Amino acid sequence: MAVSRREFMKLSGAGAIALLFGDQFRAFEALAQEKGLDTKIVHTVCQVCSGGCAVKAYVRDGRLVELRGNPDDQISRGILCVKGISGIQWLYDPDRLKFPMKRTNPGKGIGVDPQFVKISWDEAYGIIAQKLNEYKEKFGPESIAFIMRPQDFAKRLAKAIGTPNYFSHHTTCYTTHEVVWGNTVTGTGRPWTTDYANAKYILSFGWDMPGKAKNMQTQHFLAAIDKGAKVTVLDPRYTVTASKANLWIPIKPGADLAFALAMINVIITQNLYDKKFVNDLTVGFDEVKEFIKPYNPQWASKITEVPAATIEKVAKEFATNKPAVIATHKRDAAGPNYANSWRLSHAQIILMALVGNIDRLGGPIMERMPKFPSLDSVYPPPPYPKPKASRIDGMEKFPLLLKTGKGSFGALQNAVLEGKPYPIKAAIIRKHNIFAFPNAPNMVEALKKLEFMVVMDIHPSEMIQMADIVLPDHHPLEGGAISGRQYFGLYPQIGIQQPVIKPLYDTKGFRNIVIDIGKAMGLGDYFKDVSPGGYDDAALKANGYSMEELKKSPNGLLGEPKPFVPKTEFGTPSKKIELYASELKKHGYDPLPAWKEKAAKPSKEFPLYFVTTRPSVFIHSTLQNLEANIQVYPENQCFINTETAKELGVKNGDYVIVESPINKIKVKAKVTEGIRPDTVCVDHGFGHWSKGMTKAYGKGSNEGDIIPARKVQDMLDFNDPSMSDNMNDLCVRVNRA
Amino acid sequence: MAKRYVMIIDLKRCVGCNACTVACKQEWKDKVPSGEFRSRIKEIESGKYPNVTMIYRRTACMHCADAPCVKACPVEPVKASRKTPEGITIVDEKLCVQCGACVEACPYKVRYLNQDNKINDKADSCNFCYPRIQKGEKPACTVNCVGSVFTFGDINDPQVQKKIKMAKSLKPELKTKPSVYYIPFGNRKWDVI
Amino acid sequence: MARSTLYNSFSLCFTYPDENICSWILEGKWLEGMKESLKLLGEESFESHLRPFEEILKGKKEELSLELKREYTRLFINAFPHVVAPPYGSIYLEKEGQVFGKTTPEVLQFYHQSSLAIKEEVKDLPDHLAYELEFMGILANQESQATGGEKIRLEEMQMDFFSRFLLPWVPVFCEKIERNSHSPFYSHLGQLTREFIHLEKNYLGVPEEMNSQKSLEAEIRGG
Repeated sequence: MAVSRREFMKLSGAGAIALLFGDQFRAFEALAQEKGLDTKIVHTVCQVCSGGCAVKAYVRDGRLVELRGNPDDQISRGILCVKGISGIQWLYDPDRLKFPMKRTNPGKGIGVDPQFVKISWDEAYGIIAQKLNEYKEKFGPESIAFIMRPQDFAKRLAKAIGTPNYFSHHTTCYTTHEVVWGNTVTGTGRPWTTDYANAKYILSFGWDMPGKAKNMQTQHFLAAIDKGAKVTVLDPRYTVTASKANLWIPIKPGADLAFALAMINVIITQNLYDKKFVNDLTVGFDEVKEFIKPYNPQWASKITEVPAATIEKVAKEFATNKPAVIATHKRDAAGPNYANSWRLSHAQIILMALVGNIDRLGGPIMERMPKFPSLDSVYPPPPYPKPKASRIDGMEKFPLLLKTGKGSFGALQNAVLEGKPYPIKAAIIRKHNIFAFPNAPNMVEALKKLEFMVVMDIHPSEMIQMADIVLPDHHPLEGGAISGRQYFGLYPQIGIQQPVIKPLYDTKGFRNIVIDIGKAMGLGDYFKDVSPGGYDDAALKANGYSMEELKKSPNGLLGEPKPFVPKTEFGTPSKKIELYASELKKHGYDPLPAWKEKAAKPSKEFPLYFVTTRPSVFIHSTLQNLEANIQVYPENQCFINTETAKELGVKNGDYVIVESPINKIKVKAKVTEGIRPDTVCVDHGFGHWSKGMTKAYGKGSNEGDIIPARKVQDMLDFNDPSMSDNMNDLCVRVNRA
Repeated sequence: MAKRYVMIIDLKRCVGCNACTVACKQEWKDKVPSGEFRSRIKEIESGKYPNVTMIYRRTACMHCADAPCVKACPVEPVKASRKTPEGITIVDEKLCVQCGACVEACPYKVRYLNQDNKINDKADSCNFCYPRIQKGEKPACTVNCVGSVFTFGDINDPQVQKKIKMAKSLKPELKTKPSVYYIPFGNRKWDVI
Repeated sequence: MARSTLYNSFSLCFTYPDENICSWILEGKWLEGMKESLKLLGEESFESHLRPFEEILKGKKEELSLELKREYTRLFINAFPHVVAPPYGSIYLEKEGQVFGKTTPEVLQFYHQSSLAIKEEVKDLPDHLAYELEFMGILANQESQATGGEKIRLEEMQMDFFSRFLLPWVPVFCEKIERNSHSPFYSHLGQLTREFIHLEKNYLGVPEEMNSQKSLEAEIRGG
């Protein structure tokens, strides 16, 4: 039947389509020129963890097909770890967040369906600006909380709004190291580079980076072993690192401090310390010598249950095998694991100073980073409003932590729940999951008190499920920035981060999102001319480079190897390593690491020590939705000693209930000889109730559910300058399920 | 001289992170069903607390020169389970009749036959990433290893020979002449199947 | 022309129901357009599949609008449980079950060979069902205005694209929607689309051997 086009259009709904879109195509346009699909190698930076390994991304026909380490990168040295290579699965996961969304179900809680609908970025920004300005007006800027890693653009927005409430997870992670190193050696934070490869003796207090396959650290650790380095591991659990060691000491949880103090005692009383280093580069030796007198191996032996002779042997080995290093990173025994962890960090620094190994090859090194300017110096802001309130987590009472700009988590949770000192109405949250908090169910209750949550992330985590507005971030492989080599930097080196593929969906880069929110809120004056690209240009310029140079670099890196010159001056008031920490004393903390027990002790009701860890194939509670990774490690476990298991009638693979004073979880038992009989270990990353985590949903339990969230008063009582959340300072009971 | 591929794994350096397992799974997603593996890490714990040892051992097809799986394959005239000229054991999907004889025959227990999935219902096991080798690339498991655990190459290569001299076969008494070798870590127990 | 109308209508139905598209859906004129097109194609019997929509669209505008937005987001974008039926060809065509698989560049190349490109401002994947349907609509429209060798070429292109990139997965995708949708609109849309694919298969004369649906329900996506 011959019908003219016009007639047909009039007749039918086709006319309605035409009315909507004219004669235009919707998703298509005429092809301007022949577009080949890219096959190329793109240099960028992995960001699954904070390591920042430089990456070579292999793209074929516009698809990412392989990831490898960049051989010229100081950090990755041509290799990527198991999490890094998983980046491909993560990029192409169908469950990734794709568009901004808003919640249409006002109800919130564990497992509650938010009934999201897709919205445009404009609508999202409009709602965010309207809400936040409302709360700012009615309840004060302090009613708005930021929960994300410290980042200059985000901090500017927080300051422009006028809220002091900016929180991060670091009090579960490494603030003990950060505060102690900052006030004994560096004046800033902890050093990230450790030259294990050149060490002759490696001592670990609960450090197990090889067990996480942490890229640079594992490579260097194994290189040291190849060269004949001796390794001693103190850990209640027989970790991967312990399995490579010459000696595994199954130390009682929290007793590491006593061991370390006794080592100091031996090294000083037997005159084994490096006199030149101590004389030239430290202050406070005489105070240490006096202080350490009672802490002899016999004393320590009673607390640690390790023979005095062993303690003495390890101390002597540490002092005589040069260079000797104590391995630390995050969440080790001197990380925020126990109430006395910050003291252990101090004792470790003293030990390394005594053997002359701070900022030396074979030891911990203040990374030689490129100097990146602050955002404020590149784009000077108009004056910020003065916050009218103190932080709700009481961090002003912990000025040494406040200086670092990191933390806190436990205190935040309780303050929000109690609405004291004042209620928080809204939160902007990025890349933090609910599982990162101690006592996750309690955190959910706290979040329910918020009236408005903006959550930014890449995948649908439990935090996203609680959101009012969801903003999808670029996947790291879709984003652009610059990255200084921090986790291993003997000389300044900068890596480029650039999109490996065109972003798949309607995602945005985080820095741009911050600027957009600022402008939408009417705070445009603070973001005039501010751009991420502009900042990156300025940062490169400050190091004598340009973005053009970086983009043209054949290996995606800039920076020439320089000979390593050890420091002879440090970031302290005396310019020396302060064994006796004057800054700690000034603020009312012990200037020397006096012995104190950990907080929780075994009782009849809760007789077992509890520690946690994380499997190598995941990064915390992320990546459990990846098909290959979840098949490798389908469920978390409770590591329990064979004898203890027998007593409880537990066989390998049985389910057990692990109960703490606040909560209980059900976990699969892994019976092993490789753990103290009085200790159990449950690893992290499971118990997902966000059903958006398809493959992981319903498996295992979140061990954080049973870890209590500390209150400000707890930390004041501990007199802990780092507000440590003491994630392993807990005793439990275990029974068959 | 004809190429013959071998793999030597350094047990001292392996940290059991499963990067090789994940790399294999990502490479062969269209061949290996959920729950099955061409390559895995076996954890071998030994001793009594506190005198414990633990070895992480990457375990996959041994590419035996005298392969029981090849002998067991009933398909004629060309076997489904057979050796390539380079000494690699492969399964020809087009010929496999899914009888499971090769799975039974493998003394190392590294083969599987999973007929209940929609991905690959034929007998399957590691093939040293044969399609990659034909393109001049190495097996996916060896590309990113934080331990640099793998040596993979031609047995005639002197560098490879050096490593083989330090290494042992798993259960040599099985007499299958495996092409995968392990460098033990001291005297820590490692040879459990 | 008629087939183009059908394809475009389906394409719009699988596009997020924002204000414009939502009004278009709820107004229901597209049903009339489909009926007209079917008449022109001599497929009046197919009309019975359209009837349920008349009832469905009678609901309260505001309620229906919210229902469509929620359900579209849940079925096709993000959801708790998992995103129910992500509308990207590679997930179903390939065993990996991921987006941007091997077939996605093949779809893009097909578009390019037809002198078409996805607009720069489009922020979604090239093998999204809505775009693939729009593409077929464009080809159908071009074919209806072409003659001779050009017409034959366009017919062959439609057959090729349809049999490689739509037929193998869309029916399975539709079944998933029918089984899991909470919204009558989308469950019926699933059924309607499935029937339409069947119709097109016959119209384009796809030989039986090309009708391969075996092992394409990606196990990974589950039920």
